[in-house]
Amino acid sequence: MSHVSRDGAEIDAAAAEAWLINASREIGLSIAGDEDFFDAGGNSLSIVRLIAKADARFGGDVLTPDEFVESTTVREIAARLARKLGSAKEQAAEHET
Amino acid sequence: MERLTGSPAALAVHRRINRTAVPYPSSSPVHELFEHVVRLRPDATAVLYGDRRLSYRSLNGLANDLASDLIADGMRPGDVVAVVANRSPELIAGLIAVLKCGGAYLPVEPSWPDARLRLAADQTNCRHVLAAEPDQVASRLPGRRVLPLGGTGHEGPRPDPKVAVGPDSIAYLNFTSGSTGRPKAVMVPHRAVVRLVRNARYAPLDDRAVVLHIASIAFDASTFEIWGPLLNGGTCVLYPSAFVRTSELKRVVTTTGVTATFLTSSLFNVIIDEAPDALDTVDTILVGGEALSVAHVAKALGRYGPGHLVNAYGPTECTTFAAYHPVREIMPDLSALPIGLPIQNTRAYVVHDERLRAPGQIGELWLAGPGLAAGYLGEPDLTRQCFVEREVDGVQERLYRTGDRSYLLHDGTIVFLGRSDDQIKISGYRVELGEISFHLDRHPDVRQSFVTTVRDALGERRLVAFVVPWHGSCGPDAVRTYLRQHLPEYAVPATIVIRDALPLAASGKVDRHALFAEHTPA
Repeated sequence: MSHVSRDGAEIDAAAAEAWLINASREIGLSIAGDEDFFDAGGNSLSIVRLIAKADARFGGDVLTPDEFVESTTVREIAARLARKLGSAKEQAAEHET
Repeated sequence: MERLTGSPAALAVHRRINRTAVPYPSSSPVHELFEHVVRLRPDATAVLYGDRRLSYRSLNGLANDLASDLIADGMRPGDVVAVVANRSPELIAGLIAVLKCGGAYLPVEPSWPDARLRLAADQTNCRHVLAAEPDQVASRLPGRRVLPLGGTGHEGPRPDPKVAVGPDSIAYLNFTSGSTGRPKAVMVPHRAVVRLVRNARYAPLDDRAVVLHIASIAFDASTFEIWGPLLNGGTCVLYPSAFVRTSELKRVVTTTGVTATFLTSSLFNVIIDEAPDALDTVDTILVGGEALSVAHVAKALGRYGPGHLVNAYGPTECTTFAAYHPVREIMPDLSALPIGLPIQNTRAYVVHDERLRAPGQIGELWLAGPGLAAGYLGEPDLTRQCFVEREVDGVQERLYRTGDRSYLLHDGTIVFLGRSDDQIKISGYRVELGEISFHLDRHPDVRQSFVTTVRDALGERRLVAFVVPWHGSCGPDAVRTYLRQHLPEYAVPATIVIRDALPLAASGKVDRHALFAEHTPA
């Protein structure tokens, strides 16, 4: 399953994971895909930062605090992000037709 | 009475910075000033919460309903009433209702662990509770009368209850970390709240003020956020979600026209790094709770211009703010940003060895004035230790010893250096390392522990606990789960390291350097 982000690039679960790992690195969290976000040092302020970065990259409300509460590993968080990007895109497509 | 003396230079500089007296309604309790605004401007907007707008009249109506519920249920003046709820207009009405009945409110976040909630209720001898989810809270607090914040349904508006309340009555209790494992309940009188928000010099607070309430209700920044607007005829904007999103913050700030907001330095740093445009339209941005990052302040100064950013300092024991420093420039030779001058009706002294310090000399910061708390509930010894009486420059003062090391610049501006004890700040919250150690050492599998802090890659302070267990089956998860039952989330160490032993330095103390040489925290 792949989706198109705001700038037109394809975003699938793997790309979302790569984005999340890279964004985490930018805020000083070195974290692997199968690692637990909180065990790796993530906290509520890092979530505020990552959501702000996701808003800037993908548009509003695709990454929310729920993703971090309901998922544990970075891979799961990224998969949920990719799914939400997909449904956002489908809604946009429906809107256009 | 003992006297605080000092050199002529020391006396002169303290005299100069402590000319802070301005008129304020020192004999009116908080709710009477609110009721005064209700009569003056009944249709003005008191509270905004998402799509909801409450006029002063309707907020007062909700509060009067709750007050009559409390009185009907047997609440008496002087009682402590816990208010357990997330941000909502009903929560604000609940606080007003408790004050109208002559009670003191104890603000509690629903996310507190059960053990801490029960300890808080026991320690304050609270019989009545106002809760957004009364059934759920009743099961967590057996034996207490839990009333719904949504009210019990009344026909017709109720009048303001006529309960005699003096300015020295306790308005609220705030818990702060205690090094003995028992949190301390700071008792804040009505007058201290009024002194904070009337004729304020740290931010313009009048009937045009639109103040964002974004702090936890259990954090005393909420005193400023709620009573700052409501005792001046302004508007209190409730941040609508439990979790802060920079995009939502920007939306709320611009659509409601927020004029003033307080942010902890950690949250401020996040906003400056990730979405500084969220605060572009805010006139006064107060930042505090812990030392400010000079780099972030410099960036903010460049973006928002001089005069919009204010470093706000104050312990809970001096009711939210004691000193303020409007940032107009970054002084290049200072490593830390000054905390400035005392706010209105507040006095500050730098003291060492019972003497006032001259500019440049380091001492402990002592505070005085009507903002001082009445003390710690049920802790007379600790209260006597921290709140002392001295004759200063011919005047009798009651003083709070902050434990904060500081010095004065030549113009009297106060510079904060750090703590003289084990108290630290995590995301703006006061944490005593001793309180964490106390709970760790009570865990049956823990033989020895050491709690300290590190700075992460972004410069934020994080807690690290080193634990030596009695046997090998004790892991970090079990320890963390145990701590979560007793401590608020911010006081639970992000990193828990299990070790065979703790290295000791020659002094006999735990060797912090040796520990970190073997373990590099993430």
